[in-house]
Amino acid sequence: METLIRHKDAVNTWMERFGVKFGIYKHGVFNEQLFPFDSVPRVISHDEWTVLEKGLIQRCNALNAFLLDIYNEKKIIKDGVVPSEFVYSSKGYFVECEGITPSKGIFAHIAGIDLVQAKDGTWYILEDNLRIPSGASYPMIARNITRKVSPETFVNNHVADNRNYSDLLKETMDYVNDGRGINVILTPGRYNSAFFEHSYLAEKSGAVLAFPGDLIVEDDMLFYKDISGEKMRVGAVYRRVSDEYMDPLTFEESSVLGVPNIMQIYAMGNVAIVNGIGNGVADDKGIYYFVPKMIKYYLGEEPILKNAPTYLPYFEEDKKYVLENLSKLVIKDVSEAGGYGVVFGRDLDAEHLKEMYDLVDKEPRRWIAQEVIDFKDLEIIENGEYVERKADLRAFVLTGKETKVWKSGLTRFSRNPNSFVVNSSQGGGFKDTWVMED
Amino acid sequence: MNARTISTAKADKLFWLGRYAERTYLNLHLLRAYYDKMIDGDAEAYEEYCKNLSLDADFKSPSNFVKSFLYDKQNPFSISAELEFANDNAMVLREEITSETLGYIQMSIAQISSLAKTNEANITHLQPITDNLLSMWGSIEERVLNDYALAILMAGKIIEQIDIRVRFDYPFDRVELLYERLKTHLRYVPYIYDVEVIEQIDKLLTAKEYTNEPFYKEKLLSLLNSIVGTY
Repeated sequence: METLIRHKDAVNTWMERFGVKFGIYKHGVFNEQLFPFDSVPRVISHDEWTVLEKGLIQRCNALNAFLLDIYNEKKIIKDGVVPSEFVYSSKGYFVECEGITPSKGIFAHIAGIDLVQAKDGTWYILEDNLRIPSGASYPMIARNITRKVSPETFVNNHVADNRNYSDLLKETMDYVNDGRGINVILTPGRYNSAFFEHSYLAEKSGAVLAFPGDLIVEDDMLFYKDISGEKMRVGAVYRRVSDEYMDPLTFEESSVLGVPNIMQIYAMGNVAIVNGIGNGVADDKGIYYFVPKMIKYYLGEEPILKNAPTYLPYFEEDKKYVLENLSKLVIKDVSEAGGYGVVFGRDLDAEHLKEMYDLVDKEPRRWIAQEVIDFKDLEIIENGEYVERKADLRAFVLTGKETKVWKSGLTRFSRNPNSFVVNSSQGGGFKDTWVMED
Repeated sequence: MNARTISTAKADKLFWLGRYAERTYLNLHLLRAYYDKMIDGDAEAYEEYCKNLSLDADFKSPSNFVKSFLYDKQNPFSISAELEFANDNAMVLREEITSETLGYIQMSIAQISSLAKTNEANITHLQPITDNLLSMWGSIEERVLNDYALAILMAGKIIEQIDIRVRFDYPFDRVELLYERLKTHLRYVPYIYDVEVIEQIDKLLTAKEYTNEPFYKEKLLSLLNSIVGTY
């Protein structure tokens, strides 16, 4: 591994060569920047991975069962396991999806599950991302580069090859496509923060990268418009456009990013949409609290992986605890994402603590509170020195014919020594994630 | 998937990638040639260069001229600006042209950005960009499997070659040969060009009317730049 670390600059030069960037808007101006890569990988042993893999498959199977249930029979509400308020007041719930059973009954084809490891080695799930989780392309291309730069590292370490993510994606899309037509990846365009990923996954999976305006609904089918005037039928759309912008005739009418009438043919079962519309109801920070209960309810199993200890101020008992212990908890706004809306009570002065207290007291449904997990720091190299930083892991779980966990993941780390926030949009970097074969 | 599937928007990007990449390559070549003239004391040679590109600019000195044509992103004919334009098109074509091909543009941008920091009017460090652009075309030939995409890229490239050669008064036979090659590529993609324009250019060229007269050049350039579009 030492040779890999020595060749850090060469790795970054290759990253620049391949345009491994992400976009960020600051003060209304779009800038693309390299996603800082640290050569020291996160290493997960074979045995540790075996447990994680089982737990992640279990969790995603339960989440898919929940989505199918919520938009159809709603047994979990009727049986009093999940309060209806948490479903119907969720920003991710769409009444327009009621009664829809997507191709093969799968809603969450690609799940990005964020985990952290505590100092005692216990893994905790921090959040589920079932809408358009991004990030798999970065470790995938990083591995491609590090294998070129330091082949001996991979001769001497039996690391599971992670360059198959695009194969898993294709397999998933093909399964739900069911032979109807071509696979496309629908991108909002060049100025989306994750555009690199959209284009790279299209290249590697063989899907057509479609831009707004390339797709059209006709005769209850979806088509990709070819320059020759020919229309190619589309069987599956891996969309990287948010639910709200997918169909201006159903959702946000000013949207020019989506496809008019796509919801209608999605509901008819004439096209597969990856990930399904309306998945946000299951990755809502409030619903997160109920996932262990879902596992028991739908699968009749004990959860293998733990949630971070979480409190819902919606429940009186939890509210009382949260208000009494605000200064030691982390408070999250359920409607925010990307590391925004996360407040550590210990960082607030008396005045701001009081403000937070009032907010939680007035709008308990808007917040969740969690115990701060003292997560394991990972080593990174900064200015030639090893330093320790907070890091999380986004594991990718793909559901097609089977539910599979990609043997790698995106390890993001904070570059700020005092911060727990690892998001790239807030200056974080990334590492490769090695899953050992033996 | 049909190996030829391509949208109108992508066809446009492919065409302009071809044009801007080739424009950068040719302008590097011409910059070297004019720089060479200036070494021999023809300090005003750059004025002819600007005139041929229809630029009405007064750079005051050969050094300012070279700096502007290398680094000034406000000058649309600078190497920096042309590479950015090429990149804007290439970035959205990754799955058509491959990451490897895109890499040659990215490396060229890294090179010119690094040189721009020195702000030196030194053209001797530009060879890697020329090499990258030649490699990019090699990579395209090797890796672009979509016949439509390849034909559109080549159409952009050759139209740029003709455009520059007409502007810089290259001999007729050079222009004619390139034009025949252009038509060979356009035959693969009948959806992107205007047959009537081709007929008019045919008439201009086969009538052996080719001259360096400004009126004739303007007419030919005007037709050349309106061959490709969505028809």
